[in-house]
Amino acid sequence: MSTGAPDPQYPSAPQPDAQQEVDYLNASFGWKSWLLTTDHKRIAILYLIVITLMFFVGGAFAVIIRLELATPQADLMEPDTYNKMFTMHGIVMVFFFLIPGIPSILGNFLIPIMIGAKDLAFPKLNLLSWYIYVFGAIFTIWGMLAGGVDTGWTFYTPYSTRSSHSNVIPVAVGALILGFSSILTALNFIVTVHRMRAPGLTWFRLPLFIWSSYATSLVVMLGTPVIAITLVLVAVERVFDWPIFSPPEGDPILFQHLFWFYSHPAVYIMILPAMGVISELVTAFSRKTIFGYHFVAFSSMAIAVFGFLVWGHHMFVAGQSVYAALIFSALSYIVAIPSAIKVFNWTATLYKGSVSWQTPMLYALGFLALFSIGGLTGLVLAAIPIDVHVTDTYFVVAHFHYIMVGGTIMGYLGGIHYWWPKMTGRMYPEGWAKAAALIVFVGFNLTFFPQFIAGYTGMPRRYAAYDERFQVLNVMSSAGASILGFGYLLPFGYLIWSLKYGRHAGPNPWGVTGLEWQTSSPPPPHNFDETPTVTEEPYVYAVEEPEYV
Amino acid sequence: MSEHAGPLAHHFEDIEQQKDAAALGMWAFLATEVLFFGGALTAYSIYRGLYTKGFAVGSSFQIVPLGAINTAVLLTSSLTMALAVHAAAVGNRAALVRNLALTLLLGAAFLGIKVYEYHHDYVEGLVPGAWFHPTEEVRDRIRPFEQQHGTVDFRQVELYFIFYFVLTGLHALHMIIGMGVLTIQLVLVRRGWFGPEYPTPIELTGLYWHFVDIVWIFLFPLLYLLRHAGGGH
Amino acid sequence: MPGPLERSGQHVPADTPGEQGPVSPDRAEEHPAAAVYGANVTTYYAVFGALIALTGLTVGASYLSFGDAPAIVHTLIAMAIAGVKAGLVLLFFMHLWHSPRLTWLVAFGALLWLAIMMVLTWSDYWSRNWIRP
Repeated sequence: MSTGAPDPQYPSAPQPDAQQEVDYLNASFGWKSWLLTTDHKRIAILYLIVITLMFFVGGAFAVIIRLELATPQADLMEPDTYNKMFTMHGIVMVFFFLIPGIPSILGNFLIPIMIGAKDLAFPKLNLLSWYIYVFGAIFTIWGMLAGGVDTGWTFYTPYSTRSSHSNVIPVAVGALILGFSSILTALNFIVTVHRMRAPGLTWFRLPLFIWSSYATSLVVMLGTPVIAITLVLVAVERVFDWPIFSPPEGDPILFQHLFWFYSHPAVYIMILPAMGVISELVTAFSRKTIFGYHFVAFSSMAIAVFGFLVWGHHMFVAGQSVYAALIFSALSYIVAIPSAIKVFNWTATLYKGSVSWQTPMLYALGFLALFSIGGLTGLVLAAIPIDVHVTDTYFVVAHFHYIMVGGTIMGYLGGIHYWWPKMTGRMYPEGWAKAAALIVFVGFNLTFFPQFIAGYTGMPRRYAAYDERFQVLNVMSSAGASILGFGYLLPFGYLIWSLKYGRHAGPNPWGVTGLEWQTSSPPPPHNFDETPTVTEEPYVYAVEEPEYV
Repeated sequence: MSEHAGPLAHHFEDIEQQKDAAALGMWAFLATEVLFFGGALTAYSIYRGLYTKGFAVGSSFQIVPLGAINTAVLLTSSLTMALAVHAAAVGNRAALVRNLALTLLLGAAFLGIKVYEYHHDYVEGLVPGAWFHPTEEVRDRIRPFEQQHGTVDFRQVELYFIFYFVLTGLHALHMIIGMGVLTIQLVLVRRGWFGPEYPTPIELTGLYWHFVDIVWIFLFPLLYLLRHAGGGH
Repeated sequence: MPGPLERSGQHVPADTPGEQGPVSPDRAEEHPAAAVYGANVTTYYAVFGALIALTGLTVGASYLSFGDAPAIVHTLIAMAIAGVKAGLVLLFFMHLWHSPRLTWLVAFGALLWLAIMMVLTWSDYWSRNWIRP
């Protein structure tokens, strides 16, 4: 609870009377207090706004894709235009939604509070990272409006550097700028977790969301610079006509090595934070401590490390050596193990827990099912003989959408709903939220499960036209996409509604453990009136030992 | 950077925590720079392995004494930077100003020599792309090499120069940014900032500057000194 | 700096290295800043001398001939010397010698990751010709 003492960060804040609490939202007003804020909570809200916007931009491209694919002919648009649609869908979703989503919104908001700190280590750098995100987004959107890019989000050379007449450079530079935002956020998280934990908060007393965010940040720091230099080289090649990655002297496969060195770990950047959210949700809504805390924590680190050793599995048919392919394939099997350990541990956490079915838990359970399917199909792809047949088909598209959408977006929505009362001081309407979660689950599976079948039976990806034997599956997929889209619009509606009409939430509406639930909803500007001291492990719930096991 | 109310920022418990966090932050950032240059160096190393002859010839066109002098200039600037950091820590303001200014001066000298080298390459027709037309005199220079190793494909030499300009260009860009920060800090020092109670920003600049020096420590031999194509070729 | 255990007053075993680097106690009394920033001025000049000498060495080595040996021999020698120079700059100019363990971890982690990128990429090119279609 906040006291009536004036906050030095907001000197012009109105002095609260006995009834009104000062929190980070009402401590000051006006656009300057938001656009020049260094409060990590406000920056998280700023990110929420721009990232939601970009999500709908990426979603719009998805709608266009599914409209075109409802019929076998390329009848809605020219194939070149269709190429731009899936390229821009990928770029916006990957770089501007999935990579920054959970870290920049939930991570920014929660990490200092979860470790008992007043802010991140570098608050001004945090604000700078938001401005860099916005700058990158504007750059990329401008490139898209000025004609778009048609290379695929993977920018493969020599097409991207020599042949494509589209706006490769502005969009590549936009992604590059986004990389800087990503790096600054990760740097902030790493230093904060190392140097600003509250007294008594040793590493193995940290919530698992922190472990996941920390592991994600390591991946960002080590991988993002490589995509940065790769995109710089692509831009240089295009501008000066220097054949860095184009035949005869330049090697396109070298581009792919450098590109995937980052872009494979990037998928772990996208999933690890969601896994961190799931650890929080599963324990909270089974009122039970996590099964195998150390295993889950170490698995996050193992995923971060091993994730860097498998990139060649994107290049099985590109022309790399058979021996390198074998090594990458073997390592790709190994990297699945820590993810599987996590799924087992989450499931074991549910066992004999006191499970309740609130919306965040629905998303968490959906995650368990859909991420498992996505992960298993990843193992299918890691087998070279199978990959040779299904690579560049819709099987791959379904695989990564099961993980990115069935996994990450479910985790994201679960987290947003779980921490919504903390961030806003309002509860969302539970009935609407449950309905939306179910609609999302149904819509998602209808959209993407047929794609496994389509891809396995031969439908290639990145084609505007396809053989008519795939039409039924595609119509199902497009129908599912409209349901899924509706499911995503619902939270957008009722969450905004709840800001004005939602029930006021107390400090701990879910009745769960965690430092963030021991301060008011919304928290005061400095998070805690006194730095808390931590004396026990997370997720300690009273356990009733049964008389007979 | 210092605040109006003293150097301790509100979200840190004490100045030690703040200094530790700042240092860790800069080291972490430098780790990203290792991977940034490292990506370009990985590509360079692959091509050097594939096109050993062409790259050896490319290296042979560099003016080694100039590169060596530039290396010495940058190493000296690292010395003056370290001395500046030390001066800030012990509160010797005159030495701090002097050493920051010397570091800046040496950095400028490095860039000046680089500009001369770039111009020299342009005159010899070795700038890649539209400007790549090696002069007859340049081609004659490598006749002894070609007698021993066979004809050289000048497209490989062009690829070498692409990497030469990209690597040294990125390095120069980092130097310019560093010199910008040094200039700002030089101005602020004369206004009384960065005393011994909070010399950390100078230390952070020092870490960055030394890193840029380390990059050159590797670029110099990789670009200038590998003029050999081996016996097997 | 004291970690969370120390700051909460809980017991820390006496032999825990903690997060300080190997700072000698007598140096800490010289000047508080010197305790953090380690080396004194003489060390800087000595390191500088070594760096210049090693530069001369690497230039000289590049003029040597190794007969029929592959070109990579020159690369390895040059990289070894460069590694020593970089090490000196890291340890003494950048004060890594006197820095906490975590800083060492960051420095070596970056180098390890660079090595992973290079080695696994090279492994592709190196093994391309092992199997002929």
